[in-house]
Amino acid sequence: MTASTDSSPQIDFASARAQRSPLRDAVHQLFKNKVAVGALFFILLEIFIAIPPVTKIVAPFPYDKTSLYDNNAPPGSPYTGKDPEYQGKTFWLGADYLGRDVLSRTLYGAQVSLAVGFVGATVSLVVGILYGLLSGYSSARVDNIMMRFVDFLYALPIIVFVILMQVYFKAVARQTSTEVMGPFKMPGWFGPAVMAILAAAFIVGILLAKREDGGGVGIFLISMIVGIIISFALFVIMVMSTGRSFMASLVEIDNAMGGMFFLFVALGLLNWLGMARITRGQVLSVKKKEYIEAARAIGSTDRRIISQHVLPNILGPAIVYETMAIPGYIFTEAFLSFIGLGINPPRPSWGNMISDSYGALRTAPWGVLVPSLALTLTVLAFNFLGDGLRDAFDPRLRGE
Amino acid sequence: MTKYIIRRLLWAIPVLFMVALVTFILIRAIPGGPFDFSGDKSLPPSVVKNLEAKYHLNDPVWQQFCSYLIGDTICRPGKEDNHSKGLIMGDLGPSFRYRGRTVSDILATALPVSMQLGMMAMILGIGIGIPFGILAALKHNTWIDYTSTFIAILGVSISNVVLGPLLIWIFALTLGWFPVAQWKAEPLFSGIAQQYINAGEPIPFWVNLIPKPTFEFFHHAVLPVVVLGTGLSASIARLTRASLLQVVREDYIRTARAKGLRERTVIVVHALKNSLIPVVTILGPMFAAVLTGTFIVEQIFAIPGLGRHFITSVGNRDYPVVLGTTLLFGFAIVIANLVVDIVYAWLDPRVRFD
Repeated sequence: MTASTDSSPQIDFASARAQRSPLRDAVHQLFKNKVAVGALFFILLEIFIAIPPVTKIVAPFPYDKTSLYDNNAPPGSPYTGKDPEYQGKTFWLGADYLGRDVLSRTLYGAQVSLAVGFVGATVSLVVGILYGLLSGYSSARVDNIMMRFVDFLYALPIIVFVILMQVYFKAVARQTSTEVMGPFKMPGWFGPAVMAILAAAFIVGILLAKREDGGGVGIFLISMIVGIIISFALFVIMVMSTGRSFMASLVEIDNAMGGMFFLFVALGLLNWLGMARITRGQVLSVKKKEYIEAARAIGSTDRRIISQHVLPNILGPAIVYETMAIPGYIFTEAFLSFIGLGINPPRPSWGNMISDSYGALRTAPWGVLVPSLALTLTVLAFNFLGDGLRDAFDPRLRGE
Repeated sequence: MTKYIIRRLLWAIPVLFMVALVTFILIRAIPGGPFDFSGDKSLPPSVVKNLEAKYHLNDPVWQQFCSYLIGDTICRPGKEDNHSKGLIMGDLGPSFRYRGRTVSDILATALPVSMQLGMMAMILGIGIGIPFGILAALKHNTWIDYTSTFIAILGVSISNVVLGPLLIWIFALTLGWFPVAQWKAEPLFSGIAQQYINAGEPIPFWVNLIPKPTFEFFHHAVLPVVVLGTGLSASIARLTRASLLQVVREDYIRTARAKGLRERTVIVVHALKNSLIPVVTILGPMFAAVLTGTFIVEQIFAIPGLGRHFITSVGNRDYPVVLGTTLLFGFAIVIANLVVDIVYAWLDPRVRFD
C-alpha cells in the first residue's frame, strides 16, 4: 500500500483496498483468460437449462415419452406416433430404442450431472474444510489422530464401497416401496416451505456475515447448512407422521429426487478426504503467519481468527481444488448409472443413456454419441474453468 | 528402510480388517440372499434351508465373521462339518454360486486378466504421458506445447464410459480393425499349465499372469488398453509438464546452467528427476483410478477380470466372492501406496523414513 497519506488525503482508500483484495485480483485474472470465461459461460448456460421449469420448455419431449413407431429413428426424422400433442415435432438428434427423444433426454440428463457435480463439491467442501480446520487448528496430538483417520480411510478401496452402498440403497428402496403403504403423495405446501427456509437461511447468513464482529464466510456456510438440515428434518418428520419408518422416509426423499439422494450420500461419505488434507495443510501454513500472531496479540478469539483470517485465506485454494474435483464426481455418477446403480430409470442420466443405447450402437449410434458429447463437453468446461481458477488464484503459476 | 516397510505392512492389517468388516456388514445388510431365485428357477424352501445350513448362514453374524477371519476350529469348536480355515490361513471360502469352485480359484483366474489389462494401461499411460509432458514443457509456449496441452485436457475430460463405446463404434464396428470384446490370454508357460490341468488342479495365479505374446492377445487387448490408458497418459502428461516448468525455474537449475553444463545434462540429470516426484506421488491414487477404470472397461469389453466378477457377485449376493475381491482390491491399494512411497524416497533423498 502507498505511504503517501499526508500529501494526497483525497485518495479513495476504500476502492484502492477493494481493487487489491486477493479475491478481486483473482476474478480480474480469471476474466482475462478467454478459455476459462468461455467455459464459465457454457456451464452457466447449462445450469440455466437444467433448472427444471426451463428444461421443460426447452426440451421438445418429456424424457419418458416413448413412441414405438419411432424406435431408433435417425436424427431429423419427424414424430410419427399417434399422440396429437406431439404431432409435427421432430427428433432433431434421433430417438433411442424406445422411441424417446435423445435431445430431450440429454437435456434432462444435464440436471443429474450438474446436481451430482455441485452437491458432491459442496458436501466435500463443507465437510472437508470443517474437518481440516478442526484438525489443523487443534493440538498436535488431536491433529495426528484426526489425520491418521483420514490416512486410514484413504487406504480403503473407495469405489468398491460406493458400489456396495449403492446396491444396498437400491435394494432397500425396492424392498420399502413394495411394502403395503401405498404411494406417498407430496403435499403442495412442502416445496414452497423448503424454498422459504433456504431463503431465510440465506438472508440470515448474509446478515450475520456482514456484521462487523461477525463470522464472515464461515457463519454464512453454517447458516446454509442449518437451513438444509431443517428442510431435511421437516421432510423426514412429514413422511414419518404418515406411519412410515425412518428408512422409508429416506427412500421417499430418494424417489422424489429420482435416485439422486442415495447417490449423494454414497459419494459424499468418502469424498471429503482430499479436501480435508488440503485444508489442514493450508491451515498449518497460515497459522504460522504474522497476521495471525498480530490478531492473537490484540486479543482476538479463536472463533474470530478462524472465521476472519484463516478461512478467507484458505478458501481460494479450496475452491480451486474442488472445481477440479467436480469432473470426478460427474464421472463416478456416469459410471454408476452405466452399471445400473445410479439414477432410477426412466429418469435419464448420461451414464444410463449410454448404457441403454449401447446395445444398438451399430444401428443407432446417436443414442450413445449425443450423451457422450454432452458429458465430455461438460467435463471439459469444468477442467478449463478449474485450470483458469488455479492460474488466477496461484500467482506463482501466472502466465503459463 | 526395512523397518519402515515392516511397519507399513503391519499398518495394512487393521486396514484390511476394516475392509473385511465393513464389506461383511454391508453385503449382509443388503436385502436378499445368495439362494434367492425368482420365478421358475426358485428353489424349494427346504433346499434353501439346507444350503443355508451348509454354509452356516443361520449362525449369529459375529460367529460367521469370526470363522471367516480365523477359522472354524476356534470360532465354531466341536462341530464336525467345519471347513473354513479362515482368512489368516489364506482360505477365502467357497463360492456360493460357482459350484465346486473356491474364491481362491476364481481370483487366480480373474486377477491375472485384470493385472494384464491394468499393467498395459499403466505402461501406456507412463510411456506416452511422461515424454509428451516433458516435450510440452521444453517447448513451452510453442505450438507443440499448445497442441499437446489441448490434447491432454481433452484426454482427461473423456470418460471411459464414453471412450469405450466410441472406440468400439469407430474401430470395431465401422472400420472392423479390432474385435469388439473379449480377452484372449493364454499362459506363456503352457506346459506348466497343462500339467496342472492334467492333474485336475486349478492353475495357480502366477502361471496365468504372464501371457503368451500372440497376435490374437494384442489384437484383443488394443482397444481396452487404449481406453484405460488415455486418461492416465493425459493426466500424467499434464502433471509432468506443470512440474517440469516449475523445476526449471529453481535456483539450482540456474546454477547448473551457469557452471556451463550442456542443456541436455541440465534437463536430464538435474531437472527431470526432481520433476518426476509429483508424478510418482499421484501414481498411487492413479492405481486406484486404474481399478475404477477396469470396472468400466471390463464391463464394456466383456473381459472376465476382477471388476466384472465383483459386480456380478454383488448382484448374486455371492458373499465370499465379494469379500475376497474387495480384500484383494484393498491389499492392492496398500501395496501400491507402499511402492510409491519407496520410489518417492529413492527420487528425493531428503525423504527419510524413521
